[in-house]
Amino acid sequence: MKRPASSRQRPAGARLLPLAFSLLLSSSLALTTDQTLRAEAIGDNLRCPICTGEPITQSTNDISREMLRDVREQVAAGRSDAEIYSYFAARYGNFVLLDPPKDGVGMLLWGAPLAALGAGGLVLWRFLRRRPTAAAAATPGPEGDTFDPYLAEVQRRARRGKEA
Amino acid sequence: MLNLISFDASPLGALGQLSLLAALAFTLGGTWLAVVGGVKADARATEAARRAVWAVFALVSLSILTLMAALLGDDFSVRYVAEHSMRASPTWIKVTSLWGALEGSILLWAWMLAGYAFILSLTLRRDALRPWALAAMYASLLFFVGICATVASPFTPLAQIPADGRGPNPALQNHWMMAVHPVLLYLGFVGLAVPFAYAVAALVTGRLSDHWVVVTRRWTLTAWAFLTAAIVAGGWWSYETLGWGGYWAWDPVENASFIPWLLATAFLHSIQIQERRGLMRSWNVWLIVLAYASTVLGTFLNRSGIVQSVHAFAGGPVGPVFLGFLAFLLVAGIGLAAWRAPHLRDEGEPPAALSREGAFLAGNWLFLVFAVMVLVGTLFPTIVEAVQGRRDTSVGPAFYNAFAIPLGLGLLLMMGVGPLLPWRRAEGQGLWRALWPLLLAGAGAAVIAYALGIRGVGVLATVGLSAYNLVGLGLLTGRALRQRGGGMVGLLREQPRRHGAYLAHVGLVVMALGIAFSSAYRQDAQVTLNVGAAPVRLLNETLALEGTREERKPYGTSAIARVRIDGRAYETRMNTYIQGGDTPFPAPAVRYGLWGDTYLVVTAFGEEGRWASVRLIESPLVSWIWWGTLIVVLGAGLTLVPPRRAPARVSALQAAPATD
Repeated sequence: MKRPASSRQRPAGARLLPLAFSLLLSSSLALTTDQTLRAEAIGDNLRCPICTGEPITQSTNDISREMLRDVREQVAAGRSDAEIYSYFAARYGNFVLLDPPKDGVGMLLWGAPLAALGAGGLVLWRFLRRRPTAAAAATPGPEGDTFDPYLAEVQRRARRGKEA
Repeated sequence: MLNLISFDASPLGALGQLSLLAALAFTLGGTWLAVVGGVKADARATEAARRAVWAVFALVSLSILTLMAALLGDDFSVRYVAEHSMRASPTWIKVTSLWGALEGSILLWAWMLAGYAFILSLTLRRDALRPWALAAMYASLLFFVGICATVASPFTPLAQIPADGRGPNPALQNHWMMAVHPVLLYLGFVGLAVPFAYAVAALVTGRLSDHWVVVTRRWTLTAWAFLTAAIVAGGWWSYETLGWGGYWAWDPVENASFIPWLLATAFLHSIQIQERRGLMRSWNVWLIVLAYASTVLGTFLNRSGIVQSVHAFAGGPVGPVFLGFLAFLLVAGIGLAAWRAPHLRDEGEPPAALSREGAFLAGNWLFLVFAVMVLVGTLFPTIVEAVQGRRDTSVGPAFYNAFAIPLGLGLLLMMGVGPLLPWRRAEGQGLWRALWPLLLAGAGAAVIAYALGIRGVGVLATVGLSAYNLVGLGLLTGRALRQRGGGMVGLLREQPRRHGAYLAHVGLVVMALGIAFSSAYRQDAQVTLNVGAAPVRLLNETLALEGTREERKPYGTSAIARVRIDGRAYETRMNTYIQGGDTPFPAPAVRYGLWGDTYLVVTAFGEEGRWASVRLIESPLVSWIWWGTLIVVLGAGLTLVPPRRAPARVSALQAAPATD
């Protein structure tokens, strides 16, 4: 996948005019408040293709401005979120999707914390439900910290006393 | 062959390099002595190893002072100074340049590690763990001093000495937080080396009882407090410099500092189970090995350039070396723990679900899931790239927030119930009696918040859980005060550990409220203002551009827009630095308020400064995050204060259901 990175980057000096232009354009595009919020939410989940991990709503370069304007136009045209995301994925690659899709490889990503939650919960539940006899049967290590069984007993009792 | 020293080219560089090499020699010798002291139980070898730490610390101190002198004295014959500093920088930038690039930051790390080892060598008890704890500290030192003296040496000679240096990274000249955040972060990261060293010593000697946990409690808490402060300081830094009005973006390097925090927090709680009940021994060993390894992982991510991040330094030979050390730590730690597994069984009965232990373990479960989530999210794009050969995925805040919000709320829930529960076993009825005021307060607060117009589920839950936590802590403190009699100060002096923990919890509640409100109710708007034009209405403010001007300094230029917002002047800057070309670095003007911040950043200037585009961000309760952190750190500090002996009062002991 070719990233449109270098080819579209313009010298920074040229940033001012397009910015003013795009501001002009975006204000001419009449969106309702709900639509504006929706466009912003979608923009938050689209990565600026030439920055390090910034969404297009935060980045100030031309390509982000263009993409954001594109989002607003598509929102105004009544396209669904999924349609807009797949449009950008087709144009710039899955790379720009900051909210990774929950299919294919993405299932691994979204599934991992859930698997950890489930597995950890199971281990914890089994540990807390373990019968006391099972632990009592466990032999203490042959070389505990204390060589003296009496001292060990005293420590055990002292600990119990502290808990009371 | 690496050319390390040239006496002719740079006397200062040679001095620094020599002291690093000497430190490396003492580290090697000390490692050998410590191992001999451990294997042969030779007290003299152990003592020699202990004293060798002093030499290591002195020599690393000498080299870091040399580098500092070179930076302040603009000695460009020293490689690091030539590459990362310049004459024109203000003095504080020259000081912070010490850790503003790869080699210096590793040297700072090595120096702090040597410093911790030095303090440890002074406070080390004469026990069987002593030689091995020293040996494990030496193993870490060997790595850090080793790479400082060789592949990442700041002192290697230059082919040609330049007239002026290349100057510091422009992104790091923007804010004084640069002086604070990295230092705190390293203090936190490096501090975890000590409990790790003790865990290794406990594993090697097989003396796996609860001694090492008690000995290292202060170290862990200190490291944890530094880590907490460092992470939030980093958030503040990005709030003050990145110009988007946020403080946390789930950037890979931010995540890399957060994972050790999650694991260290889990460890802080689960060692209490071991201390009180002698349980969870193997779990604690695993946790500290993972926590320490995760600090190295974080550094690896930061230094190797394998993840895309705003914070990452350029890649170099150091990445693979760190990966090797990480693998070594994991293999050694896991191998040792597996070898000693038969000795790591707990004595005594396992914890009940309805007990302090049960709550701590449930908290541990959530902390670990949190850490796994952050780790998977951070590494996923890199793994996909490795498998598919191209970078085709990004993981953004949407993923992290989807899990972090429920997990955070779950942790708030456990945080409230933990201190209420007694150790060993709670009676169902007693628990209910203790819990209902909290639940009532939580539900009441959520209803009031709803009535006031708050609709976000996450925010409502945070408000409810905050009230639940605060009422719980208030009731516990009130009861302790009644039972003891006398004032709050006396209570704190008698039970600093318990009430320090309560205070830290209060701080976390304040932070949670700040995070919830500032992320849910942040408002953001942009406008272009003309100089002298009529004021513009934006969000809830009126904005007028009073003027623009430019300030030229030898190291860069600031374009400044002076904007009057509701009668108060804000000066927001756009800085460019001579090393950064045209790349602008915004410096927002922030008016901090208890209930919300007004944040103004300039995004573009018109020709001859006749107009300026600005972005206005208003977010409520942001400063609660900073204040909350201060409370957390104060609480952690309080737990370190040795308790004053209480006059014997048997009845009070029996009456209190919740113990430390």
